[in-house]
Amino acid sequence: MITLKNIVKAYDGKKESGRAVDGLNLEIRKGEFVALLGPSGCGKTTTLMMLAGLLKPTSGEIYFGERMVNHVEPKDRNIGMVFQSYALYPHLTVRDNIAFPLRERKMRKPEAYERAREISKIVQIDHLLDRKPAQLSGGQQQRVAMARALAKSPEILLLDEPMSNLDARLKLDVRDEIRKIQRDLGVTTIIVTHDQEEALAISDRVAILNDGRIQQYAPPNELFGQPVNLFVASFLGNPPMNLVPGTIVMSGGEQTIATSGFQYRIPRERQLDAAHIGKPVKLGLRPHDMTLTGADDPEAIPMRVDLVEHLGSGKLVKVTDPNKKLESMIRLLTDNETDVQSGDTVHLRVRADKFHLFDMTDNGLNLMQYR
Amino acid sequence: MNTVETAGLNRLQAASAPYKKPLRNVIYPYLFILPFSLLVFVFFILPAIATIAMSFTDLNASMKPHYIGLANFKRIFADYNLPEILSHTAVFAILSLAISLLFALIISIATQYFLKGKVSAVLYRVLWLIPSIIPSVVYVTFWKFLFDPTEGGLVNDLLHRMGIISEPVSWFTRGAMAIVILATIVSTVSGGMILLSAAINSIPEDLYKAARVDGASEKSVIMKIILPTLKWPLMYITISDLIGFVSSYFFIMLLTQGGPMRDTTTLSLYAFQQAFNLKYYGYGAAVSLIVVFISFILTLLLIRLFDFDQLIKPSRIED
Repeated sequence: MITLKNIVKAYDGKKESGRAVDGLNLEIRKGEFVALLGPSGCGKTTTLMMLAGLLKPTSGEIYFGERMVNHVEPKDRNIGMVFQSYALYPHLTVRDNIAFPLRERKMRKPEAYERAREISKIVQIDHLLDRKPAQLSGGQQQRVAMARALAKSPEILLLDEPMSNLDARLKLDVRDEIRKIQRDLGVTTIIVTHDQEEALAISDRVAILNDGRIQQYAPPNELFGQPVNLFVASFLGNPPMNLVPGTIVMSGGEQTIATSGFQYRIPRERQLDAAHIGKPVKLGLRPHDMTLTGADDPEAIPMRVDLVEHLGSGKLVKVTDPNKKLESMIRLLTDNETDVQSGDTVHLRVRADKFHLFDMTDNGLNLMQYR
Repeated sequence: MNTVETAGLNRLQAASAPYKKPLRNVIYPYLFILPFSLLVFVFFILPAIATIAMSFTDLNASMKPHYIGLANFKRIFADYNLPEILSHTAVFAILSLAISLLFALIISIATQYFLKGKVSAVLYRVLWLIPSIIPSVVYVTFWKFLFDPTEGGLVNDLLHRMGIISEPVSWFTRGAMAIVILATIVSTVSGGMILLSAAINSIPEDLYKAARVDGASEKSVIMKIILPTLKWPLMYITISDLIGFVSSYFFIMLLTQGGPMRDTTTLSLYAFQQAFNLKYYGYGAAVSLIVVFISFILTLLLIRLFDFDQLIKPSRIED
């Protein structure tokens, strides 16, 4: 198990603003596949470098199991690492690249080469062993980097944006393969990525980072369905979540969200604490958590269609309220069969168990309870 | 035909025939090259032809050349000075090359790898640049002062003060060749150092990180990552420095005039002396052609030695 305790990394001395990582806590179970996800500059690569031992934390502790490894050299941490640039040794053959970490551990040449051949079979590059890295395609180089990282049977595999230099199609294949290899070998794996789809697809748990702090650390489903704050909610999802500013008011004895364009009554089972009444919030609605219904539905919100985009698998419909009071359009997804044209009046029904409310007085904390 | 018709015709042709570059565009690049080609021709190719022509004549101070065939070349190989001069050339070129390459290599690895990004590394490299920046005459004067045979010489003075010697030593009679080589090295190191430093600097930081994760020793990093990167710059430096040393006479002439006796006379200095001191232009030209020939053979050998084919061979990328 890997434990990060209150990790701080400051690049320019003591300055508060220069903190790449600012009080990070994380626990990773043995054999788990964890993604560090966040926008650029959020501190995810810095965190990975500290796990690798290539950077030393300014304060805080890193444990591998029971052992504190803050001052342990990278080579003594029993890690394998794949760099974004792959960092293959350009003047060594693929065989020598894979055998390099073994040879540096004083393993004899025939043994190291035999091991290199075994590993190369796992990542399916055993026919390329005599090539130099410059003679390989990007996908092949990525496999070599993977093989080199796995050669010394590491306990922990660190992947620094390993797929960002591959084309979209190849990415999907490589993703599956990395996941399969990780399962087969049972190696604890930490991947750094800015690609949310990749992170959600490949990992057991995802840590979403922003400003050097973990915003939420949970399995993909939970992150998507129960975001703890506005950042996580707006960062995840494509098309992104609709965020409508409003206020909580009492209307006819019921808690209601009043926005500039419409009112939405909060269902009984999701009532808020009375303290929130009168406070500004943002209503979060995922595009696929809304449906179009008939005019006879008392809960439905009448809207006018502004724009219809065809996505292939469905339609993205952009609507505003009839009086055009809303600051931004609301996006929702429908199937291809739904017949809507721009200019139509439609009736929007929000799934009562799926909307989110973010407290705008408290850094966008999610007010909803999920049970 | 007026211009409008011509333009119309051109358009017609353009439509039917394959596209042809207008003449102006064809001439343009050559117009840019022309002035420099003229300069190269006048100051480089013409003198070279003249030298070759001269080497087959007995041109001397009388300035009345007569064709004498290969007599000059026969004379070179019969010259009783030749073995001595050739060995001086070899000693000078090989020692200068080996030591300056080694220095350039050590300095660039030290400053670009071990001390990378440190101010001291930059200062140190700037220090080495000074000898190649100051004018040669000033530089040579400094070395002459350093090893002056009188008590006023810097080395003599220092050694005397430290009590190591009681009488001033005549350094130039003792080890003229050593001083010549030393002076040459100190001014040549910087050139190689700059090229090698730049090459080391181009190694991506990730490679060093990967090496640290892989537990690579410093020796492995230098032998397997840094040195292979330096192969082509090293080839260039070796060839250009070696040609420079084989054909250089400037420092030697200013420092020792080839003396004492012929102790520091190299082949190219000998050519210069024959041509311009003794005015045997024909013979001097023949000797300098031998210098060119030796440089040419050495270059071919080095290109083969460094496996130059590897560099120009295209790499194959297939899936």
